This record gives sequence, structure tokens and C-alpha cells, in this order.
Amino acid sequence: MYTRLSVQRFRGLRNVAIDHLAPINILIGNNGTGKTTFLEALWLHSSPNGELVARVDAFRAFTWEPSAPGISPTGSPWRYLFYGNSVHERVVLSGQANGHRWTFSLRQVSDKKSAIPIKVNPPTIPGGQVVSGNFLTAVLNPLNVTRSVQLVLEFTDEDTPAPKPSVIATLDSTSQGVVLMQHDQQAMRAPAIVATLLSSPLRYSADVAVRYGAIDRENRQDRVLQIARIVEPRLKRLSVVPRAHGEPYLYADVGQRELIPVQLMGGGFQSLVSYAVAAVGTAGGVVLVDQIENGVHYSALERLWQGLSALCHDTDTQIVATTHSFECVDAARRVLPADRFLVHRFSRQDLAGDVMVQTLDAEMLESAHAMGLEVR
Amino acid sequence: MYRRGPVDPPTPLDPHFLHLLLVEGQEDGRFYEQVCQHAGVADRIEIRQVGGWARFAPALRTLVGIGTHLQTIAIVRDAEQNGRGAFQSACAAFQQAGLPQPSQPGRLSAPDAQGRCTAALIVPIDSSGSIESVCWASLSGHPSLPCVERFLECIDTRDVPASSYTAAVMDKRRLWSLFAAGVHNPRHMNPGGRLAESAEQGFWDWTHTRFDPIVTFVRTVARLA
Repeated sequence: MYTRLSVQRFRGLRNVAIDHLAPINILIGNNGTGKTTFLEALWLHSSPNGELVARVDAFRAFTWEPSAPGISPTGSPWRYLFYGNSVHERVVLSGQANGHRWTFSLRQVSDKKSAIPIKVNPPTIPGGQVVSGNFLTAVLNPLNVTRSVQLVLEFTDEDTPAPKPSVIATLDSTSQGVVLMQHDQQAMRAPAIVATLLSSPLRYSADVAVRYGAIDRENRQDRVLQIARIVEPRLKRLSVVPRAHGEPYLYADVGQRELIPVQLMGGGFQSLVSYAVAAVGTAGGVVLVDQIENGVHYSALERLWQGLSALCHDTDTQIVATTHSFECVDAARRVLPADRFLVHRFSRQDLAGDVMVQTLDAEMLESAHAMGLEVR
Repeated sequence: MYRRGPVDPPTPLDPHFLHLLLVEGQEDGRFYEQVCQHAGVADRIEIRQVGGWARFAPALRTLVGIGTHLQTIAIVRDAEQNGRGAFQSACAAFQQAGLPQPSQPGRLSAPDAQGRCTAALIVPIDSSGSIESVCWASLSGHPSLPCVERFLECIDTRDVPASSYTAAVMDKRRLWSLFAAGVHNPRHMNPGGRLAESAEQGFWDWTHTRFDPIVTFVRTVARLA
């Protein structure tokens, strides 16, 4: 379980820390205060490797593309990871989970002297081109490169006090244009903690069916069904149906003649299936949910929290979720055990000000309730 | 099953009010709103009830991060049996929230690094009791008071003796007995009600010297004293 995380110069967060994380954490605050960014920071920190860095923008339905033509100082496709798009100041994520403390940092190397030697793999192919993907991969002819910048990840912990650098990507200017190339996809080490990020635009994906299949094989499907029945009491079972091509579909049996693809069920049902599959499949880890109330009727929120709390307790899974819903926070206040949850309120004192985070415990939430005080 | 009618939804702190007064309960909130009206500071002070004196500390811890625009955060509470203890308790609540502490009741503290001051008033300021004690004392000379005393004496000879009650509770019994007779509203046509209604019906003479510490305090909180 994560107990703390500090975020420095990551996206819109210049310097934010949460020093007390509970088994269940609810992030609240105005639009643009960095709640989703904090989830992404936790996700990146959970497993320091290049693949997650490359995928994190995709959770916002955004993909990297090389700037063209040439490479301007602020033209790197990964610049949005850096506070104020300033790639000259490193991103630092430092946190502690399961008694282990480690730091993850990102920096851009723009000069040859500081460049880290890399091996180009797969083999170089003349006539550089960009290959599509969430994180664009590319092959190029290194002989044509006129300028190159690197995105470098560094990892330190008690066992690795000296930073161990790893080049995640390079952006090269060549005679044929700008080429973005991904390196070092593998984790620098085994993930310190397993994390699942459920973003708002990509709540339900084919991956849920694959993960449910694994849960079904282990005969743990009842835990998922219990949560899903909060919004669909007719649910008898979920079934993974393979397809000739592509990933399998998940179907729901709600007592009709034919099973229904989960994608065609209501948004709340898809959300709850996703949460439950993530919680069971991420046992011992952390589930990060953006806008947890999405699609869920207010009357089901108490049961949602009760169900998730019990499930996470049994699977030793931690939840960090954002919400804009008063009903969602108030339902948590009413039903969650006081020692099991915290609310973290993100705010800016003024438009140009830094983001601050205030942690509210159950007693403070009760107090706000008594005062008739809106804390979101 | 009794269904409660509409309940006010929670509201954020109003950023136009730079001064916040925390009171113990709903009744106190409505009473002090009338005090602020009289003192001419109702448009400068937001009043919130915390749900009992034991909740001042968590309320302050909550507000310290949310009310970053506030210049003054003040507490007013009953002395009950120990005015000094009540003031120390208020100061401890400020301290737990990381706020500066006033050196004496009714006075503003020194500002903290963000320029915020605190203040706490214990009523009555000079003895044990409650806001009802102050109100009762302000009625000295009212022709109905001896009737209330005789009424309670009669009750107490047949029930729990008067010595069992604290000063604060005794004054509440007196005042509520008076309210039960309806003397606080015009033509005595609506007996019952309590502190809030009596204040809202204009029963109290805010210029009475007994109310001076309270009126002065809200003006101090509003930075007009």
C-alpha cells in the first residue's frame, strides 16, 4: 500500500505531496487542480519503466508525435510531462509503498556530452520513418542524424542510491525529417507495486475481458459479480467469449435469452465491472480510478463504497479515486470505516497559484457536514 | 415515518466574507446573526455552527485549508462551569489547526505568516454560565422574572432540587420558562421557541451593558472595533 507520494514538476503540478494515504483515498477539487495528474504520477511511480511513460498520455486519448520540422528546444513530444512544458527541469516522483521508498525522475538530455550511449534495436533501416502506435516507434539511419535529444528515466532507492539512467526515447533530426524512437521498453526492475489506472475516457476496454478470464480461471469471479450486481441485480454471470480476431469480449447474462456484450450495458455497469476486475486482478497493489462516480446512480454510491471497501480489504488492494460528485464523497463519509479512508482536497489559492493539497479525515468530514460546508 | 422537509445543501465558504465566526449550534448561529446585525457587521462576518463545542477542533482543522481567504477565524462558546478552561480549550483547538492563539478572551491574536488572526469569546466573560445567563441577566427588572423564579422553586421542591443544576442549566431553565409563557413575542400569542426566535423577534435590548462584550467582540472580529 502506498503511504505517501510527492510530485515535483510533473504536468501542472509544480510541487505537491500527500503524506498520508489510506486504503481508500478520494481526490476532490476544482477542475484543473491536478487530481488526474496525481493518479498518473502514482501510476508512473509504481513501476519505473519506459513503457508506462510512453503510455501515460494515451490515457488522455493523446499520442506523441514528433515535432516537425527540426527540433526546437521545447518541441519534444514528451514536453507535456514536464511542468510548464519546460524539459530543462526534471520531473521527480518520490514515494513509499509497502515500506519501500523509491524515486523516479525524468529529464531531457539535449547535448552530446551528456548523452547516454544507446543501442538501436531493432536494427537500423535506411530511410527513417515513423511507425504508428501509442508511443510512436521508429527506425532510422543514424548516419543522417544532425541533432538528437534523449528522454532519460532515472531510478533510485535504498538499494540503488546512485541514479541508474535509462534512455526511454530519442528524438532525432535527420535529413528526412524528425524521427521519434522508443527504447528500453522493459521495466528497469520488477514493479515495486502493481498498479492499474482506469482513466475516464478509457474506463472499459477489451483488457477487462482478458483480466476477467484470468479471474474466472482462478474461480474468484464471485467477487466481481457481487460488485457488478450493485447496479445490475439481474446479473447471473459474466462470460468471456473469444473472437476469431482480436481480443475477447465480455458478455453479461442478465436472464435474457442471449448474453449481452458488456459494452452494450449501461455505463455504470461497465464502470463497476472494471473496478471489480481491477481490484481482484491487482491484489496487493493499487487501483487508480479517474471520476469513480461516472455512470453510477447516486443511490448506488453507498453500496459501491461498501462493496469496494470489503473487496479491497480482502484482496489487500488500495484505491485512489477522483470525483467531482458531492454524493460520492458524502456516501463514503456515511459508510466507510473512519480508519479506512481519507479525502484529499486539491485547490489553488488563485489562478496562477500553486496547487495545495489538504487531507481530510473522517472526523473533519463529519465536522464539515455539521457546518453545512461544501468541501469539494 | 416522519419525513423531514427540505434541508439546506452544503455551501462553500463565501469568499466575500473575510471573517468567520464559529458557534456551537444552530440556535447560536441565528442568535449571533442578530448580534451582528445590531453591530453593523452582518455583511462582514460569515457564521457557521460546528455541532457542539467538542467539534471546534476538527472544524478548525478543516477550515484552515479551505478558508485560505479568511483574515479572522473566531470562536464564541459558553463558559459552562469553567470559563478559563473553555478559553484554554478554544486556544488548544486553534493550536491543533496550526493557527495562532489569542492571549486573552475577546482579543485578536497576533497574525500568522498568512496574516490570519484568531479570537475567542467565552460567554459570560466573567463567570460560569452560558449565553442564556447573559440574556437572563439583561432582563433584570423585567416584571415577569419573579414569576419564573417562583415557578421553578415550586417545580424543584417536587422534583430534582435546584442545587443539582449548574448555573448554565439554571439560566436556561429560567429563560425557556419565560419563553414558554410567550413573553418574548408581540402579544404573547406564540409561546415556546428559544434563543434564536427571541432574537429574531427583536426581544433583546442589544444596548444593555450585559451584551457589550458580545457586541464589541463581533466588531473586533470584523476589524471595526
